Amino acid sequence: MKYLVVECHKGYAVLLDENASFVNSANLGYEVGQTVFDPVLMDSGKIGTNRRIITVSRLLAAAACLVLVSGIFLYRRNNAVYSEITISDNVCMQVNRKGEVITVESLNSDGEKLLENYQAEGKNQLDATEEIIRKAIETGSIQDGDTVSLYVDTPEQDSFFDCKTEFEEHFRSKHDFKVNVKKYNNKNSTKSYVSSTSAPASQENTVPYTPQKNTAPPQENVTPPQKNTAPENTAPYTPQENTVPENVTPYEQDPDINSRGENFSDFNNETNEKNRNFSDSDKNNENHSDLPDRNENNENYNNHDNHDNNFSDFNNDINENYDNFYDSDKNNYRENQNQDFNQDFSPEYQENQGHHGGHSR
Amino acid sequence: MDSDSIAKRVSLAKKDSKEADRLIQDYMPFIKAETSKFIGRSAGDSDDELSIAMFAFYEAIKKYSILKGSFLKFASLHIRHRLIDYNRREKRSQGLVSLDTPISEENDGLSLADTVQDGSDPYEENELREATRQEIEHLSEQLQDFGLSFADISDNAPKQQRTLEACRKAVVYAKTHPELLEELLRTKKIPLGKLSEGAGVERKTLERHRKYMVSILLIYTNGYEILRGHIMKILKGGGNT
Repeated sequence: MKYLVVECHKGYAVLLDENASFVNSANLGYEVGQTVFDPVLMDSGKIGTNRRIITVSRLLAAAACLVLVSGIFLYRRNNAVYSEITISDNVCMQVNRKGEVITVESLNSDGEKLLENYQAEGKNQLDATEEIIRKAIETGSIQDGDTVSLYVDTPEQDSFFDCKTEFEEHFRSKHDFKVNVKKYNNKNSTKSYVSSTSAPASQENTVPYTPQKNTAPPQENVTPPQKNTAPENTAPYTPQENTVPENVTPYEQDPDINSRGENFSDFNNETNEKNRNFSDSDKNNENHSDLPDRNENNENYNNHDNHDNNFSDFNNDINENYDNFYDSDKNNYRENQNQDFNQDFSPEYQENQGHHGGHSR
Repeated sequence: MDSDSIAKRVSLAKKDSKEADRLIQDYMPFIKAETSKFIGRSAGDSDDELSIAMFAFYEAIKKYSILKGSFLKFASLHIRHRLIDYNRREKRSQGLVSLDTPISEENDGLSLADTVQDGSDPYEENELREATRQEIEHLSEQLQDFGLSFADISDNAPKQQRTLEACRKAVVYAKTHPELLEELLRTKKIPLGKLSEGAGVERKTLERHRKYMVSILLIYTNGYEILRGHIMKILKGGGNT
């Protein structure tokens, strides 16, 4: 290509090429009218092309990153374990965020039998749970009317409650079995539960209670009752018959947080500290039927797994009583609001009160 | 001189070629220093590298915007890139002997070019060059009547082949209709409407490259045979870029 030098400046020259295009180039000592063949041209067109290529490359790179991130996000959403559901200590399901089963494994020989020729992967957690429970009914592991415990392990408290509600609503219409959804906090501890249905719990489904290591604090830490407070020979609380099975102390063995999000274990420990009668009651197993309130509370207590509110109410009652009992005015238990409670103690206690001039309100 | 005033001068120099020349002249020490830094020795006025650096400085003026930061840093980078490109280009032609190489060590003025047989006549070439120069000067004066310079036209010239082709069609139409060229000389305005209608080209395209169209149409009026001969390709249906 021939270029005609039409204008010369200090730092550049204007050339006219054979395509009738005017271009700028470096002025390598040019003179007007000179014909040049290999000038150093301004990169206007080239740079535009490069810029376009760079822009397109950047857009492609950004698009590739977006696809990668989306892919990772979708993979995690679909394949990452979000929660675990353990069915009666036999089977454990790992579930993703969408509530779909990722994997299912057996925890014991019963579980192995249940999972024989059964594929739960990809199924909805509710459907898979129901299918496994129905299979357990078919094999005889569960009887009609039994309560099946589901232990749910989720990263967040809110998601546990959502899951619990979802399961309870789904299984409410099932009449051949019931489910009890609990939060599973510590994988290494033995889970336990309390049968909470009207039908007696089948022994086969009862997980024997194994006391946890960090439940009730040792007696040494219990603040000894102050003077004029609960006497040692106070009649202990005794549950009614056919209520709490032996060797089960729901307070202690249930560190879970109730449906209201209250820290149950701390409350229980506190109650146990103050209420030696309560802990003694199981051992003595005396009938405390003179306490209508207490009896009512016993029923509530027995049903506490199904109706956590009642359990909390019961505890609140106890706590209320003992708040009054261990009032700030500890020297004068006459301030005790629940005189009936005090009066319902053993005759010996009442007699003693009488010797001390009794107490009056 | 602070960065704000430099930025102002640069923005003026973008539109005015004379201001651009003044800016280059004012910053010659800077340009020389950058060149010397690159070549590793003091840059002389006759060095091609200095010419390349000045051209790079002019390019930086054209491409600079405040978003790119300091102008001097931007210009320094640009100068360096240009010098690197020039270096690479020169390396490709290494091993070639210049025709200007003297034949003997004696300073008798004879070079290799004098020994090479060439069909061209140097006197003819000189005359041709002189005639071309005069035509170009004449055209430049005529463009000044329109308030234009070759630098303005080079900025306004179409860069894309498609646009160049559209302008070519308009020029070919004007060549076959001399009354349009007469109207141009008389009114000092391009009859864009007639051109776009007659050539079948979008008026917007011709308007966008109005300055360029003026220069090319002027070349096709009387008196510019050498320039017309130079751009004959455009009449033959476009050429290579």
